Amino acid sequence: MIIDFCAFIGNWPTYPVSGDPEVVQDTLSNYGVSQILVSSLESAWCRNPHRCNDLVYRAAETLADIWPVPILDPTIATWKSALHQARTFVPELHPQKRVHLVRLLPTYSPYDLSQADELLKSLVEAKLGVIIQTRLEDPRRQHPLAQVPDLPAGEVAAVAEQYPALKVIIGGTRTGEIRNLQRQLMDQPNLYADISQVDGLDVIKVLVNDGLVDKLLFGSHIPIFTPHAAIARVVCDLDDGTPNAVATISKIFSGNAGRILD
Amino acid sequence: MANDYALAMQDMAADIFLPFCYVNPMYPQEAVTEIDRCVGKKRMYGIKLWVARRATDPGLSPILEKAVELDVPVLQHAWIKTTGNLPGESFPSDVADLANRHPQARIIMAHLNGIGLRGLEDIADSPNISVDTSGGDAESGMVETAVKTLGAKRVVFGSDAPIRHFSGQLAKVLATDLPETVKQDILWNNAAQLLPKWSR
Repeated sequence: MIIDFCAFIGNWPTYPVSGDPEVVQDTLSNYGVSQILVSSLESAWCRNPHRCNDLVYRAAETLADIWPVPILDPTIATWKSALHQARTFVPELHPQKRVHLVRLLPTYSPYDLSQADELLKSLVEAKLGVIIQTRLEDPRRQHPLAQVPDLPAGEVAAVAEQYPALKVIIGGTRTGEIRNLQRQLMDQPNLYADISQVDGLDVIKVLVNDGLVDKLLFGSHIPIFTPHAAIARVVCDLDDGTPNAVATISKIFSGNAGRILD
Repeated sequence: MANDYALAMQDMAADIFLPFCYVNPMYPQEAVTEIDRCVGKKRMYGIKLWVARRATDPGLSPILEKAVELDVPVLQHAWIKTTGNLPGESFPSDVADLANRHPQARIIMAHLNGIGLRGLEDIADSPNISVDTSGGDAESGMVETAVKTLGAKRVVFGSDAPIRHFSGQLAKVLATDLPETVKQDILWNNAAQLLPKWSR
């Protein structure tokens, strides 16, 4: 079983992607992904990103593997309504697929994470976790009129330190940033990182050797990236046929998710 | 010195490492001398150009002429960086200019995911340029778009190792819905045709 913490549906304005929810589900299903935590790509460029959460809720209603991760933006005056919607969403056909996590896109709104204090406190009260996205696109590849800098992953780690009761996932950060936060990831029980944008020779092996195996969450970054790459990095780096390797791979693919989604 | 390191790798495993000779077009005559040493005498398989000078620079001409003379391909780095190319970093349109000035040369332009959708159009009408798939993230659809724009014979696999993970870069090709024969062309056959005749 594989749980994907970094998946999106919808369109991306500067690059054609296959973001139809059914296509996303079918593509990931081919790789054994059976639980897809999904946000709307279109939230990034919508001046009220909450409007795009409806696409995610509708997909969760009808598609068995899609679990909703709504985007919340603390600079939208009515963010509390969006949070209420997240808290009370129960898909009729799949009642177990309530919202466990919300996603923040601070660099796209944009806002400083210090403006999210009230929202983050509310998430703690609501017992919801948060994915704070550091990157959706390599800045070198962005449209010149739509340049969005990366969010330093250290700022996400600081949120986890400030709110120890909040489960915090560093979304879409690169290998170097994860390695630089090795101490925080190991010391803060509520801090995790998805591996959707890590890269480099033997990168998963390197992160595991850094002692981070219990803090890594699988993410494909579909539909912008092909999920084959994310799956292959884990399997090629770790699978030596031994039971220990299988156990390690299982942690990243789904085991660690259990501590977040329970 | 870097070329001697590459030659040593070839000595270690000649059937795995096919080194290319790196030269700096800021020093065209020295570059030609080094190509004579590394390619002419030591049988390196091609020439590598990086970011010393853009491909539009006339300093590249002696290098390309030597490549044609020795029947080896030239691997030319290129990228379109929204954040700004380095001063000597070529754009795909620069590589098209180079290819049009040297129509007998076989040019491999590196980094499909770096040159992107616009870069493919820049080189579409330069039949002596192939693009390699190395580098950049495993963006979905790019290899298919390259095949559609350039033709299946003008795309070659590249890994950008060790900067990028082998399996992630292979995924760009293996995960496509392209026919198996096209994947084989990208992963092997097309590159084999670009290498010098004596190596085939």
